[in-house]
This record gives sequence, C-alpha cells and structure tokens, in this order.
Amino acid sequence: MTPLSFEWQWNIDYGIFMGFLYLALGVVACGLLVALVKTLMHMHGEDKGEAEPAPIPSRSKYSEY
Amino acid sequence: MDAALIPDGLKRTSPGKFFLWTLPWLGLLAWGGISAVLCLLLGLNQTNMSNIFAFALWIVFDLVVIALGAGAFFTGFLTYIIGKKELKDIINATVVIGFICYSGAVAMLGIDIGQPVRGWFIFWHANVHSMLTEVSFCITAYLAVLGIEYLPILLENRKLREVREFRIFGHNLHHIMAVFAATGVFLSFFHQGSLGGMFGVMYARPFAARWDFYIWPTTFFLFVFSAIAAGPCFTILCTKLTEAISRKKLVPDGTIQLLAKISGWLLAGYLVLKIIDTLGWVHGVVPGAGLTFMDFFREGPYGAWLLGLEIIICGIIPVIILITPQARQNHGLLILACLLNCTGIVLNRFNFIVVNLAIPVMPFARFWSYLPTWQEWGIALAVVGYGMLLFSASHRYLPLFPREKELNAAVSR
Amino acid sequence: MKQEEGKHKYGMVIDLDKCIGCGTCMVACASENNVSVRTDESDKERSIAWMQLFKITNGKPFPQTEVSYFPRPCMHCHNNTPCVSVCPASATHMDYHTGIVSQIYTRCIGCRYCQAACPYHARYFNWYDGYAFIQPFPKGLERQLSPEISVRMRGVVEKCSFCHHRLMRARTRAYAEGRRELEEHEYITACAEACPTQAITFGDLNNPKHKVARLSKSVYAFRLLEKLGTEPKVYYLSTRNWVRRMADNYRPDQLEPVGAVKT
Repeated sequence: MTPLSFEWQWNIDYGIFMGFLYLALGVVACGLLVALVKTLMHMHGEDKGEAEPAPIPSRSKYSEY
Repeated sequence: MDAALIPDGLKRTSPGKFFLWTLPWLGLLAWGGISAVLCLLLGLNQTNMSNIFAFALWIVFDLVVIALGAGAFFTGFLTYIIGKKELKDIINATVVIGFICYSGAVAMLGIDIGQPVRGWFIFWHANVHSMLTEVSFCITAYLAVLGIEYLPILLENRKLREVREFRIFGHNLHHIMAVFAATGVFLSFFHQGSLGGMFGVMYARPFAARWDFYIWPTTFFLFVFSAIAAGPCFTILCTKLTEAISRKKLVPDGTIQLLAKISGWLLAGYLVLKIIDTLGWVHGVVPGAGLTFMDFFREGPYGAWLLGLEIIICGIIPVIILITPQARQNHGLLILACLLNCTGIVLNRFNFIVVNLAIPVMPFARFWSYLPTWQEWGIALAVVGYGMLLFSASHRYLPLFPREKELNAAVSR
Repeated sequence: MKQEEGKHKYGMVIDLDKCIGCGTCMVACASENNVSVRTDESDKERSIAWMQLFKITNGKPFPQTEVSYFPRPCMHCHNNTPCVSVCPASATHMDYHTGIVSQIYTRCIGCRYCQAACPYHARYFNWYDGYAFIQPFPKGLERQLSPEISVRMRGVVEKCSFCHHRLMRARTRAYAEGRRELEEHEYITACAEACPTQAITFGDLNNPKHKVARLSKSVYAFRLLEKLGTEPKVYYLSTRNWVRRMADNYRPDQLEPVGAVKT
C-alpha cells in the first residue's frame, strides 16, 4: 500500500493503481476539509456579527446543484 | 414519544406500531448475530462451503447487494454530473440504499474470510494485479464516500438541525456534494467492474473465463453495465415498497418513469453485449478448452436453462416492459419488470459463482453439491434485516423524500 | 505480469503406467508436511491432501475394464499461475528461480479466491483447527511433526510446495560444502522418494542432464488440462490412449493419438 510495505515495487502497475487510489482518497479528504473549514469560518464570522445563511427548505436546496 | 424527531409536517405511524414493525428485522439480526459469533469462534466449518465451493451463498449475496446498491452511484452520476434534476427527488433514498448495501457487504466479507483479523493485509500487502484487491480498495473507499453522502441527510434530522454547527456543516457538505459524487462514481465504476473481472480472469475455469479487452476481461464491462441497469430498478422497488407500507405517495411518477426508462435502455444495451459475449464465449473460449457448451451441464441440477432464464425471462421481458411507455406506466407491469430485472442480476451472479465452481474442469473430477447451512442463511439475511431497519428508521426520522409533504397534501386535497 | 525465465525449473514426471494406486505418495506427503488429519476424515470435500489420488476407469464393461490412477500434486503452473495472480494479499508467489509456487500461511487471509481460480483443486482450506491448535493436544504428536514445516492455523489455504524445505536443506548442505549447484539426487520430494514403483521422478526441467527433462520430452508425456494454457510443471506418462484422453477435455472432433509429438 505504501513504499514501506514489503511487496511494493517501483513499477508502472503500482504507480497507476496506488496513484489513482491516493488521488481518490485525496479528493475525498480535501472535500471534507473544505466543508469543515467553511463551517469553522462561518462560525467565526458570525461572532463578528455576520448573518447566518437563511435556512433553505430541503426541497429548494436540491435545485442548487 | 419520538414526535420531536420526526420531520416537520410529516405524518408517521405511532411508535408502538413502528416498534412492532422492527421486530422481525431485529429477529433476523439476532439470527445473524448468533451465526456470526459461531463462525468467528468456531471457524468456517459452520458453513457448508468446501474446497470445491470456495465461494458460496455469502459471495453471491455480496455481489448481488453491491450490484443492486449501484443505484446510488449511478443516480448520483445522473443527478450531479449529467444534471437530471428530476432525480433529486429520489437521490436521498438511493444514497441510503447504497450505504446499506455496501456496509452490509463489507460486514459479510469480514466474516467470510478465514482470518478476519488479517483483513488489513489486503490493503497493506496489496497485490495490485488481483481483481479482488481492486474490489476491496474501491469498496472500502466508496463506503466512506457513501458515509459522507449519508451524513448531510442525517444532519437534516429535526433535532440535529437545532445544533447550528451541524446545520452549517451539512449545508457546506451539500454544496460540494458533486465532488463526492464524482469520486464515488469513479470508485464504484471500478469495483463493479473488478467484481466481474474477478471471474473473467479465472482463465483456467472455462465457464467463467473471458477474453481480455486491454487489461480487463469482458465481464468487467458486463458487470458494470448490468449493475447500473439493475440498480435503478432496485431503487424503484424499495421506493414502491416504502410507499405501499407507509400508504403514502413519496416520489412523483415522472421521476420513477425516468428511472425506469433509463434502466430499460441500459438493460437493453447490456443484453446486446451479454448476448454477443455469450456467443463469442460459446464459440471461442469454450471450444478452446476442448469443451462444448453442453459439456458444462453433464451433471448436477444446473443447466443451460439458467442462462436462458437469465437472458430471456429476466432480461428481454423487462426490457420490453421498461422501454415501452404504455407498459411501464402500468403499475403492476413496472413492478414485475423491476422484479425480473433484479432476479436476472441475482441469476447472473449465481451462475458466475456457484455454477462456475460446481462445474468440474478435470474430466475425472466429480460433481459435488452445495446447500447453505442455517448459519450461512443467518448472516446473509441479517443484511436484509439490517437494511430494513436502517431504511425504516431513516424514512421515519429523516426527510428522505423531499417532496413527500407536497405530494401528500395534493392527495388529501 | 513480469515473467523472466529463471535458471531452474523444478518439475515432476509421473508414469501412470507404473502407478499402482497404493497411496504411499499421499501418506508420505502428509507426514512430511505436517498435514492436519482429523479424527473423522469422511468429509472429502474438506479433507486436506496436497497429493491427491484420483482413480479413473475406461468405462468399459468387465472383460475390457481398465483402471488407472492420477496422483495429483500442485501443478506449479508456470504461465501466469492462476492462483498467484488472483491473491489479493500477495500470500502466494511463484519463484522464477526455481519455478516453485509457494504459499505464505501467515500472510493468507483465507479469502479462497485462489481455490476458486485453480482448476486442479490443488489448494486446500483449513476448515478446522489444525495441529497447531488441536485441543487436547494428542500425547506424543509433537514427536511425529516435522520441525522443518510450520503447522497451519485455521482459516488459511495450503498446498503442495514441492517439499520446498528439502530444497533449502540441500542448498544449505551444498553451500557448506562449497558448492553452488545441487546434484540431481540431492533434492527430491517426499512423494517421489516414497513411491514403491518409482513412478514419480523429480528434478530440474531446465537441466538436460536430469531425468525429468528427458522424460518430459517423451512422446508419451502429457499434462493435465494442457489446453487451458497454465503450463503445469507436472508431466504424466502413459502409453494408453484412454488415459491420455482423461487428462484433458476433447471436443468430439478432437483426437489425440498416442505418439503425437508434443510441441
């Protein structure tokens, strides 16, 4: 799984397979991080008096994406 | 009692009735629990698997629930990436179904392997040339993605929404859902394919062996195709079942019809490929191994009829119903088509697993039979029980169907 | 998968015309390799026999009836070994220097994909606790177990290793004596050693001086399920046409006459 494991070979097969895996995991992790950071920033922003986003009903929210 | 948890403005049955409804499913879970303890403590001799039937009921169940759970990734793909807006009315339900199917399959696999404690070896000591490695990596990663997709739905719960952090976090997750959906599509595509590839690469088993297309055997593509053809039908079935039990309309007909139409055309495309592949296999791989098609069925209860049942009864008939607008608008025919479609995928996976292993390859090897033990059934059915419980609870406490309020107001008017 | 040709390619030739079906090879193998035996071994779908003996007949009525036996060790397939390429945890491996397909018991997770992929049923799963955890441990069993072979735990797959420990032993001795090459007689498997009719010959298929190299090129030599392209390193010899036909599947239009030159 990592270059530290015994089976690891520095060849193209391992590069492609693990490359895609870590890419997918990286995208997921970054997505989560972005959501978390945005939430924290929002909480912080509210302390300074910024308004909370208007709660949107679940129905209309789905049309946003 | 739990009124504070039920989504605003939606009607749900009384807690007592709901509790009674959960009892059979809790029973299945208990049965599965006992079976799991027995299998983990005493070993896999609790099953009827053998050196001949190395894969059996559990693997069939695994492959089937994963294929049926494909509704989640494919509907996500259509909603977020293609932009089919109608499907947003059902996307939440598909995510929950997908999460149930994948988590159930992973739990079953944990018991299915002989040394569960060493499960992590697949990841750490991965052999990147094995299809099963690809399956394990992608299923685990996709289960995580499904968990993330499920999270904002969970945070929609009335009580959880009262916590401001949760509300904002759920909102932000919703905003970047397309990213998760795209990653999910990538992961899911590859493991649905590798599950098929697992059998196509058994080149020494002529019943499963197929040619390679680049580095993947043809079953790689057929399994992806069949999963996305059957997944939406399973979603329709689950929705219709929920509607029947809760006696409410939950999803607009347009959405169901769209899903049915997409499913029908996909199934038609799949069948064309499957028939070409089967003919090619009968005239290529099989004679190459010194066999004729009928040689596979010299002994035992399995026969060519299984293939006919899979392709004609559970393939061509649902295609005709699903692609004909008049037929699929008929409620009974729609349900029948969905049921046949899902049965077809069960048969397909069964043929590739149990029938494949039952057919001896050496001319002097004998035929062995296999019937699952109650422990095997227990663990397989526990996934059904778990799914029923999680889906019922999700429906009760979360706004799973965004247009439920609107649709039922219209009905009462 | 990368496939470089190694220096040695150990293999076996089994003369079916000499085999009398006594089963000594099975016993020798099981005892040499600490193969677990249970009190009740009647469930043949789950018993472990690295060397398995199949009985075949020509199917003709009494006066013409003929019987032969097929001793079947692991074939140690040389071409894209079916079981090796599928193992997700790299628990099985083919060594290109010797051609031996090995199994790492402590690495195996017991997914059994290799069993499903092997057409010879040469791989066995430990459905029960083996000698390692047998309770109560039979008195004196430890004196019967070979210290060179690890006993297997429940839930892992095991298979014939061409008595790999004997290779290690022979190598160690040769090394101590300052040699780099093994003599033909220095490394043979337990089944080859035990066979009372000397039906089993073992050696290096790549070494023209070895008997197996010569025998494997005989016009009567054939392999099990050759058409699948697994390239087994176990060859069989038989002058009887019906025995040869039993080793592979033939379409009605295919006939394999005795004496046909193998390519």
